[in-house]
Amino acid sequence: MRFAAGMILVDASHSALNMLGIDETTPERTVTRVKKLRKGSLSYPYVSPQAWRYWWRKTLAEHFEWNLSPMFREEKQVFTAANPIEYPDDDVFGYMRAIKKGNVNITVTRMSPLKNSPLISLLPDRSSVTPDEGYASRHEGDPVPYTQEFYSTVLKGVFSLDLDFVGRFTIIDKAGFKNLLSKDEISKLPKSLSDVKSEYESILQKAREMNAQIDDREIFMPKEIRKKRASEVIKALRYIFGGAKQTQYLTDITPKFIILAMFDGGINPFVSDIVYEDRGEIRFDSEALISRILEFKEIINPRKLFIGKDKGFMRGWKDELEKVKDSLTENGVEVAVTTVGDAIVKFAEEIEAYYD
Amino acid sequence: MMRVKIKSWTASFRYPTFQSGYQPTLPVPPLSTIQGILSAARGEIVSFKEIPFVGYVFMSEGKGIDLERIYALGKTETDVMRREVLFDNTLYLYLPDEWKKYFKKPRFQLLLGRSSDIATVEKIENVELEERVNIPVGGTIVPVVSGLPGLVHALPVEFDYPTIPRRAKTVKPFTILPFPRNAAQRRRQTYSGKLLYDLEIDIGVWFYEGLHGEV
Repeated sequence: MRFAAGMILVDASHSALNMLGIDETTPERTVTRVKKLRKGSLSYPYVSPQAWRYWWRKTLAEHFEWNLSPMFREEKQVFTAANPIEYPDDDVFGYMRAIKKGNVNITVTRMSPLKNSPLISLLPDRSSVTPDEGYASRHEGDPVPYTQEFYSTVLKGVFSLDLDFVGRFTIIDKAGFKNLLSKDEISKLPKSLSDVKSEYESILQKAREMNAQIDDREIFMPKEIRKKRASEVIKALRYIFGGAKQTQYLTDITPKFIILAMFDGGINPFVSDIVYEDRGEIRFDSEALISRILEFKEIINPRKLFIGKDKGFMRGWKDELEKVKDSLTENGVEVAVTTVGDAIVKFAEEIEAYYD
Repeated sequence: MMRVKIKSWTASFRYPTFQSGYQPTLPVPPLSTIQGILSAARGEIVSFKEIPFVGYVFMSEGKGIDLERIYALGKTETDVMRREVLFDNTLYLYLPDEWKKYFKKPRFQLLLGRSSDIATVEKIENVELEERVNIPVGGTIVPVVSGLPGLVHALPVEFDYPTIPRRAKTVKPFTILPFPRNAAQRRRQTYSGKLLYDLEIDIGVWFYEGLHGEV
C-alpha cells in the first residue's frame, strides 16, 4: 500500500469560487452568498470537494489529453461509461453504475482512489468576506440593485491518492470493489442484456489489447499506464483552473504553497493546523509540521518531504521552512524546499518510481 | 486499552430516514460508521462480534450546508440538493491494544463519512479509564434501555458488504447523545449506573461489548 498525500494553499485574493445562491432569508432576496461553514460565532468560506474534483478532472482533459468518460442516459439514469480500462477518469475518480433488469442486478461501483477535502478558508468571514453592492443598469430604465458576496482569503485543501488502486480493478462482491463484471457473469448474462454483454466483452477485449494482466478477481493495467495516470493526477495541480465568477475575479487557483509526501498508510498528516490564523494573519507552524512528520516517520516512504512555495506568497515563511528542513534532515527525512512547480515535478517522479 | 484520536476538517453521517431533498447529518457517527473506520484501518470488513469491546466519543466544532448536484432517479435533468456537513471534528476510539498496529498503518484512507471527509490519526496512546457512577456521557449513541433522554433513532449497527449496494445487516434503536457543551446538558446526560470515565476528556464512555446482535 502506498498513498500520495498532500496539502495545498490557494491564494484566493479576490474570489467567489463556489456560491450558495440567493439568500432567501433577506426581505429583498437579492443577496447571493458564498458557501460557508460555521464554527461558534464565526463562519469560514469554502469550496465544495466536488467542485475541486470537477476542476481537477477538467484540467486533466485539457492539459494531459485525458479522454474523459462520456455520460450516458439510460432508463432515466445518468452515469459515466464505468469503463476504467479505456477512460482514465473512471479509473481515478471512481463511479457507480446501477443496472437492474428483471432479476439481474449488474451494478458496478468503484471507490475513487483520489480523495480530496473541500477548500476551506483560513480566515473567518468577518475578515475575509465582503458583500458587494451592484446595480444592473444600462442608460435606459431603472437600475436593479443586487448584492453578491466575495472573499479575500487563503484556502486550504488536502488530498490522498491510493497508488495501489490506480490502474487496478477488482471484481470482488463488495460495495466499491466490484469495479467490473467477471468473465463468468458476462457469459451468463441473459439475451435481454445482450447490449451489456457485448459492452463488457469489448471492455475485456480492450484490456487484452492494452496488455493488461487479467485474472478472475483483478485486472492490472500495464505499469506504464498506471504510472502515467497517477503522476499526471499530481502534475495537473500545476495547471488546475476553474471556479465560479472567473470573469469578474480571475482567480488563479493553482497552489501557491504545497506539501507532498508518500505514506504506507491511509492517513493524511496534513489534516491539522500546520497553517493557521492568528489575529487576521496567516501563519505557518514549523513545529506542527515537524512533529506530524516525525510521528509518521515509520510509514513515510520514501523518507522525503516536498515543500513548494511561490516566491511572492507569504515571504515571511522562509525561515520557518528552513527550520523544517534542518530539523527533519537531522531526523533522517530528506526535505526539498523549492518552487511549487518543481515540488510537483519531483514528487511526480517519486510516484513514477513506485510502479517500477 | 488504547485510545486513538482521529481528526478531520469535515464529517458527515447519513440520517437514515432522509432519502431525498435535504440531507442532514447525524450529530455523532452511528456504529456502522465505526465499523467502516475499523474496516478501513484493518483492510478488511470487521464485524463487531470479533471485537471484545469498543467505545467512542465524537466532537464537532461547527456545521455548514453544502450544495450538491445530483442525478436523481426518474429524472434526466439534474437536481441540486442541500447537504449538511460537520466542521472541525475529533473522534476518540477506545479499543483493545491489538488495534494499535492497524491505526499506525491504515490499509485504506481513513474517512469520517464520505470520500471528502479525509481524516488523520493524531495520537495513539494507552489509557486507563476508571469506573464511576453518575457521570455525563455524550458524543456517542447509547442503547435506549440506558434511560438517558435524547433523540431516539433506528440506526445501522453493521452493514453487509457482499450485496451491491451494501445493505444494513443489523438496525437497532439508539439514543443519540451529542457531546455535552454546557452544565445543563451535562446534567441531562448524566448516567446513574456505572461507566468508565475518561478523565482527560471529562466524559463517560459507553462501551459496547460482544456487540453482534446484542445491542
